[in-house]
This record gives sequence, structure tokens and C-alpha cells, in this order.
Amino acid sequence: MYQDYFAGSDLLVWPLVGLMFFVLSFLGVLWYVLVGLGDERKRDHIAALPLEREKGGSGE
Amino acid sequence: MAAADTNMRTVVYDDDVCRAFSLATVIWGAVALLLGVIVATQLSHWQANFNTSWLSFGRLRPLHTNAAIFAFVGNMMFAGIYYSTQRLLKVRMASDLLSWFNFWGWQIIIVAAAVTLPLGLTQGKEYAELIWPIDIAIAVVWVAFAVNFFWTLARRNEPNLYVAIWFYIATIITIAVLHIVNSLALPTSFLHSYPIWAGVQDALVQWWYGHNAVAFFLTTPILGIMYYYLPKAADRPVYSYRLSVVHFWSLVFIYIWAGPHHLLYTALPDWAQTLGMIFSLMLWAPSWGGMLNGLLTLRGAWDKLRTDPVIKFFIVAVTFYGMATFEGPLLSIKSVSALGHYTDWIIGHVHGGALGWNGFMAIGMLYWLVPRLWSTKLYSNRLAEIHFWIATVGILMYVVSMWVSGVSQGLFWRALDADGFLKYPDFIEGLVASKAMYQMRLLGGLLFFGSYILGMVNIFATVAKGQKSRTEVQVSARVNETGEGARRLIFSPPVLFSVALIALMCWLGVANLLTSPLVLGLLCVTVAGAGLSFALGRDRWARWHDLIEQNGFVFTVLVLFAILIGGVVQIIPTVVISGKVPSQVAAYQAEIAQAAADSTVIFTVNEELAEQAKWMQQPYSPLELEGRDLYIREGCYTCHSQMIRPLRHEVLRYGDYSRLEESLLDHPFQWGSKRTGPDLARVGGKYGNLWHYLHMTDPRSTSPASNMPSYHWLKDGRVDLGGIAHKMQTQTKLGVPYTDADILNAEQTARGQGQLITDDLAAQSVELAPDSELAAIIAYLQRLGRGPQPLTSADLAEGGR
Ligand code: HEC
Repeated sequence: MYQDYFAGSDLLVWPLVGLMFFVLSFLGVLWYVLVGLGDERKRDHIAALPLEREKGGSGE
Repeated sequence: MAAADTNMRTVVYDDDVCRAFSLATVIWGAVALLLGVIVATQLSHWQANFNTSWLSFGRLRPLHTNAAIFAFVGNMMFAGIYYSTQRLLKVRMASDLLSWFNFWGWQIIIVAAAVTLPLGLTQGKEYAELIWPIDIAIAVVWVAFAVNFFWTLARRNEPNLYVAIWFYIATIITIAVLHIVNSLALPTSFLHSYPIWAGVQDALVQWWYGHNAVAFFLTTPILGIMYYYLPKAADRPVYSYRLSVVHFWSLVFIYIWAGPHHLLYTALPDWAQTLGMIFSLMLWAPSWGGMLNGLLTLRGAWDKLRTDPVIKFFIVAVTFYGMATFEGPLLSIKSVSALGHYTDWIIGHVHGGALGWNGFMAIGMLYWLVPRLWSTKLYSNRLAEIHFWIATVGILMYVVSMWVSGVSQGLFWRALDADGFLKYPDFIEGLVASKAMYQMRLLGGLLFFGSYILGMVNIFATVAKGQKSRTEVQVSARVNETGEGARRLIFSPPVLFSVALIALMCWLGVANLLTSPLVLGLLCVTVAGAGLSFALGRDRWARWHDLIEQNGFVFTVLVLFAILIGGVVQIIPTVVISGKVPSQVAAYQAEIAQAAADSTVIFTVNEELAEQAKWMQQPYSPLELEGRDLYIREGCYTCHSQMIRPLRHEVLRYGDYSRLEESLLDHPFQWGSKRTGPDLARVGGKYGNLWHYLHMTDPRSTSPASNMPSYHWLKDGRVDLGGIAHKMQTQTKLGVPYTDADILNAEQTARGQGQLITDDLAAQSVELAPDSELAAIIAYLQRLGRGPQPLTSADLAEGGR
């Protein structure tokens, strides 16, 4: 199957390289989420950013 | 905290521009919905176009889609982004001038669209119909928005970027890339152009654009808005911040690959179709992660769902997001696409997204935002409640009716009898069967529109009783970004090793038998080196994401990378490979000719090239080219496809399946996406000229149940025969092989071919001018699926050209 799709041209190796790049980056994202956001205080701080109160206006 | 206090700063947010965008949203939303109701009426009662060219379906449908996407959702997105960005970054927008340029520029573009599309000024590419000068205006306004946004980002007082800001960044850069690449065109005049892409290239670029316009105009900004306003309305943080991060990156990465699912079973190469299908299926996971994240944000606040209309709208919106993103991957499975593509099912799917997800999010946001922008309470919660229920019933009727009619159309088209032939050979029977569902859809649309008017009343009454807010906050100022962070990031070990790995993988891609062991060896060494470096200096590896997260520029570059990769690896091979076909075929044909002339030349048959040569498209005659431009002007592609899929029932109904080579010279491609009428890829020669004359001027005369508009104005319209040569010249610049003689004689050739058609009609007692638009469109229709047609009476006598 693989051969059928990619036999046509040398260029068609690039989608494969792209896929590998995709997998690699995804591992990076998982790392960020598990390690980088491991600190609960920091996570809670960022998640609470929309909820900060304001003065003026009707103030929500 | 005395030190921090000296750093305090007062910030006044720019709420004026948010108010302007909010009101524009309310107004354009009504226009978009009204247009929807009109075109829906035309499909069940064709008379609703009042026999007027600029009200006909093919011209109004693009106006409806553009209004819904760019005017309604566009303004809503700007309102939502301007309001939340200032608050999340704790700073006023960097430039009021740019904010207002964005606002007025966008409104002028919408008005220009509303004038040009009904006049038939279009590029004929779905959701990218606007003519090139407007395209340029869009690019300029978008860049102004981007500059304002990134400038604000650089001046922010909050170091951490909340996930909504990430979604906005992805929106801004991706839309810029999509718009520019898809709009590349060569003008023939101030109002007309041909896209530089042709045939299969154009199809792939167009659906890469079309699909990702859904992803990055109708989804990512609205998700950013969801991640800001839903926690606001529920008064609690998003359920899982970690999940939102995964949601973001996986959407950005995966969406961009999925475009080819619009082209399953077409002449697009198989590998691209398969990639499109796989990535569409993968999309299901992050989309549902996002939906659950939204819904679970309400944990412990479900009581609000009973009392707060804003929450009601948001929850239904998020639920529709889940339904639409479940249905999308489902429809991308090849066998499901075989049934659903070209039918009303897709229309139902789109409206689940546009009305259910975008529409309900917009209304929820406005009900939350408008009272705050005008320092008051919503005029009537009860009215909002009524709005909610009517709209919900309306959209359910819409989606259900389109699902029923879509699936039955699919089944109807493919039904075969016991002998393996079409059970319903007459296309119109399917349309007649859908009529009740079309009426139900109309009713659903009317309910949605009617309830929206109630919402408008509610919002305007709120505005009337309130007064403009002025929001002032105290924030601690942040030291501005320096280049230091970026430098540390770039030279951090994870980044260096990733770059090395990618470079080696690219090298592996082009390596040959000799070099590949070397590259593989280097890859192993790099991986080992990375492991060693990690073991020795963990802290150097752990800091990189803090740097990314707090560095807007680096973050943006990463997003750009993520979105480019999927597009580039699909588009470049297709463009390059298909771009070579015409010259390869021409060279092969020259070889054959030489061998025929000179018996000493040894000639070997190349079966692949011979097959390509057999299907290779020949340029249109001048009159046919003109007819094609009229086909585009009238928006025939909104009801007709020109792409026969290799499925038994399609081949039985429409003829041999369409080959990639057959449309390689088409600027733009007209494969279409919807079959309200039959496919036209091989309609040439199916009927006589007289039939087309009668059908085009009054479709009911040949097909009593038809809902196709009567194009009687084409009889009186005149083609500028003198102008065709210039259009052909432009086409040669794009690679269409017209000869100098073709161009020199264009006017005369066109007149001759028109005369031939009108002589034939005159013999059957019908008068038509040879330079009429109708003659041109008949010439084009008669050419479809066939080689060059007779241009003079001498050709005719010989039986061809
Ligand atoms: C509102 C949808 C709609 C639009 C817009 C529309 N058509 Fe049609 N067309 C139909 C339907 C439905 C049929 C089948 C019934 C009939 O023959 O009229 C049809 C049939 C046809 C046929 C006959 C096909 C066959 O194989 O029998 C041709 C040719 C055609 N249309 C050309 C055009 C052209 C050219 C335009 C644009 C100028 C156009 N149509 C615009 C709906 C539409």
C-alpha cells in the first residue's frame, strides 16, 4: 500500500518527513503539559487570568 | 510589597471599538440570516428570485456564505478578541488608529462584497469569491489587525499568555497565509482575474483554504472566545488548563492536513486523499477534548444553566461544536463521503457548525458583553429565554431536514436495480422527493431568523437604557521583552537537538543508497547525544517551555511552523507533479509525431504517458472561454459539479469518471461541491443546441419540476468579443498553450463559432445573436467532457477540428 502512494515521485517522501516532524512536536507538547505545567500554582494562576475583577464599567 | 506598588500603572481599556464591532455583529448577523432565508426559499420555490439576475441563486448564495462567515462571525470575532485581549494582557490595544482602521476597513469590505457579488463579479472559488481588489483590501486590513495585536502583545503587563491568546495568534497568522496563497491571481482587468492555480492544483489549494477557513476563522478564534467567556459567565476557571493546551496544539497541527477530505474519490492523487482522511479522523480526539473541557467548566454551577441565558447559549454552542466535529471526521471516511458528498447532508453539517456552534456562541457572547459595555443589565432575560428556545427548535429542524434529504439523495443516486442499472435514472425525481424537506428547512431557518430579530430588539433595548462603560484598572507594569529570552531559548539543548534531528530527517528524505547509512548513523549519534545531555543537565532541558510561553515572538514562529508543514507537504508535491504533466505529454506527442514522420526513429510506447495524452485537456476556444467565465459569473457551481467519481452509479449516470488531466488547464477549477442539479462534466453533446436554448431560458420547459433559475438575461447580454484576446494572453502567462495565431484571430474565431450555433438555432426557427452571452454559454456547455469542437462551417462539414 505504502509503495503505491509514494512510488510516483521523489517529492512524496516529504509528507513522511512532515509526519515525523508532527510526531516529534507532539511529544514536545506532551512534555510541556506534563512537566512544564506540573506546577499547580502556576497552572492555577494562568487558568484564573480571565477571572480577574476590574474597576470601572459595571465591573465583572 | 512597596517595591511592586511603585510599579503600578493605570490602564484604560478601549471599549469603544468593542462596542462598534458588537453592533456591527448584530446587524450583519441579521443580513446573513435573511439572505439564507431567501436562498432557501429559492430552492423550494424558484420564483423567489423574481426572475432577476442579481437575485438569482448562483449569485446570492456566495453572498449568504460570505456574509455569514466574514460579516457576522468576522465582526463577532473582532469584538470578542479586542475585549478579551486587552484584559488578558492587562494593557490597552497598542494603537487606536489601527483598531479603527480595522473596524472601518472591514465594514467597507463587507459593503463592497454586498455590491459586487450580486453583480456577478466573482472569482468562482467557494468562500473566496471576492474579486482581487477586495482581496487586497482584506490583506491590508488583516495586516493592520495583526500589527495592532502583536504590538499589544509586546507591550503587555501580564507575562503569561492565557490559552485564548494562543488561539488568537494561530488565527491571525494562519488566515494571513491561507488568504494570500489561495488568492494569488493574474488580473485581466480591474474587476476580473484568473487564479494562478489550475485544475487539481487549484482544487487542492482551494480546499486547503476552504477547510482551514472553517478551522481558523470559524473555530480557533471562537475557541479562544469560549476559553475566555465561558469561565467568565460560569465564574470559575476552565475545567482543565492542561487539556486546553493539548487541545490547542493538536488542533493547530492536525487541522491543516485535513483539507483533502473535501476531494475524496475525485481526481486528486490517492496519497493526498488518504492523508486527508487519516488526519480528519485524528481531529476527533482534540475536538472532543475541547468540548468536554468547555462543558465540564460548568461543574458545580449547573444551576446557572436554568437561570442564565448566556450559559444556555454557550452550552448548546459547545454541544453543537461536539456534534459537528463528530460528524466531520465521520464524513471524511471514504465510504461515508461516497454517500454524503454533493448532497444536502453537507449543508446540514455546515449549519450545525455555523448556526449551532458559531451562531449560539455569538449570541451568548453578545448577551454577556453588551450589558457590560453599556454598564447595565440585559433588557429582558425572559425575551432571551424565548430567543433561545425558538432558535434551538429552528436549528434542529434545519439539521434534521437536511440530514434526511441528504441521506435520501445519496441513496437515491446510487440505487441500482436487479440487473445492476440505475433504479432512478432521472435526476429530477430526487429533487422532487426532497421538496418537503426543503420546506421544513425553510421553516427551521425562518424560526432561527425570527428569534434572532427578538435578540436584536433585546440588545438594542439594552443599549438604549445603558451608558457607555469606561474600564480603568491598576496593573503592575512588566519589563518589556528583550531579545535575551529568545536567544536563551534558541540555544537551549532541546531546540538545538530538535533542529538537528529535523535536518537529518530531511536529509534522509533525499539520501541515496550510499549516503543513507551515514545519515542513519548520524541520527543515532544525535539521539544518543540528546539522551546524554538530558542526563547531565536536566534543568537546562526543563526551562525551555517557560521561555516559549512568555515569549510571544517565538511562540508565533512555532505556530507558523506547525500550520505550514501540513499544507506544504501536500500542496508542493501536487503542484509540482501535476504542473509537469502538460509538458511531459506534449513532449511525448512530439516524439510520436517525429516517429511517424521518420521511420528510422525508434519509438517506445510509454503506457502511462499514452494514457495521460489520451485524457489531456486541450485549450478552450475563445467563445468557450468566454462562456466559462459566464458560467463562473452566474455561480452555476453552486448547484452543479464537474467531477464524476469512480463509483459505478456515477459512471452509469454521467459517463466515464473524471481524470486529473481533463481539467489541468482550468483557471479556476469548477469541480463544485454540491449537486442540486446533475453533474455537468460530460454534458457536452448530450443535448442539441436548441435544448440548451430552451432549458437555459426556461428550465421548466424541458424539466417541469426543476428549481434552476431562468437565465433569460443571457439572451440579451452581449459578449465583448474584442476583449477575449487579452484574456487568452493572460491565460498563456499561466501556462495555457494558446498560440499567437489563436490569440490574433480570437475575435473572428469566436464570432464564427457563435454564428455556427445560432445558425443551427435559426434552422429550428429560434433567433439568437452570435455574440450573445447565451451562445457563449451553450458553446461552453457543448464542449464539456469533449475535445475541440467545430469552429467554422468547414470544420463542421469535416466533422471536427
Ligand atoms: C438552483 C440550482 C441551479 C443553478 C444555480 C443552476 N442549475 Fe442547472 N440544473 C439545476 C437542476 C435542478 C437541474 C435538473 C433539472 C433541469 O434539467 O432543469 C439542472 C440541469 C441543468 C442542465 C442539464 C443537465 C443534464 O444532464 O440534464 C444544464 C446543462 C444546466 N443545468 C446548466 C446550468 C448552467 C449553465 C447554470 C448557470 C448559468 C446552471 N445550470 C445553474 C439546478 C441549477
